[in-house]
Amino acid sequence: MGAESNDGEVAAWTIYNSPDGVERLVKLFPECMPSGQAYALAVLCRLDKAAFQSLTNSFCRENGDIRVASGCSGWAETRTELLRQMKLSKSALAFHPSRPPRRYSSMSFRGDQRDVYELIAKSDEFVVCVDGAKAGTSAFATGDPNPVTKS
Amino acid sequence: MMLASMIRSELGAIASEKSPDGKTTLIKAHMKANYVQVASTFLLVAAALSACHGPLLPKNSLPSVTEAGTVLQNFKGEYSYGGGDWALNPTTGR
Repeated sequence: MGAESNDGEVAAWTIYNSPDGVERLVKLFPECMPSGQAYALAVLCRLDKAAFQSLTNSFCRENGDIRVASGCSGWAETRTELLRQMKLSKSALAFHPSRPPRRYSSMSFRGDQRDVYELIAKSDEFVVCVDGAKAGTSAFATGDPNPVTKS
Repeated sequence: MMLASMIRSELGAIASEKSPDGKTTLIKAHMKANYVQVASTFLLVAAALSACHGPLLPKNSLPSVTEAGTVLQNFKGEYSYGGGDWALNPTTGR
């Protein structure tokens, strides 16, 4: 059956459908975390090209890739490539106004608190800490949100 | 469209049918059976669409825009559409 849309997508969709979506997103953009900024840009790409272009430079100046997911895969995407994907009409990483978020009960926020960036950082630490650790043994790969280092 | 044409053809079949003794009992029974069939088909199609795309929710069921702004500001999950995030945490599925 697949999974539900996350709160970020629902928030982006809600703002897209508001009368002052562009102004709101432009104002929110500098206050957002990387994924939130990506959602804001993806919506602006459809709502207002000029506003989108005005924010792309500051987005790309920041360090760090953006954690993305599509279907059953998750990966880190460079900011430049993500912006390129947002502009493509058929990309899975673009905002599509004709596709509402997928929720099975209601559109209310479910309170997503998971910080994928922190999880990644922890899993990287874990791999570094364990001598002779092989790829695929990190907490992130096994889905353990509370990794315990073993020596 | 398909459902509408199906209903039309069923009604046509019912209208042209005559019971041997001139009573309407058979026709009523036939109509009832057909309505059940049409309703079942409709439910099946609705369930299939819901499974593929998720339920269609009306616009007025969206959360408040102010709340959406706060959520977007604090969002630290994956950037994804349609719930692709489960793959990164298969244990919880979220």
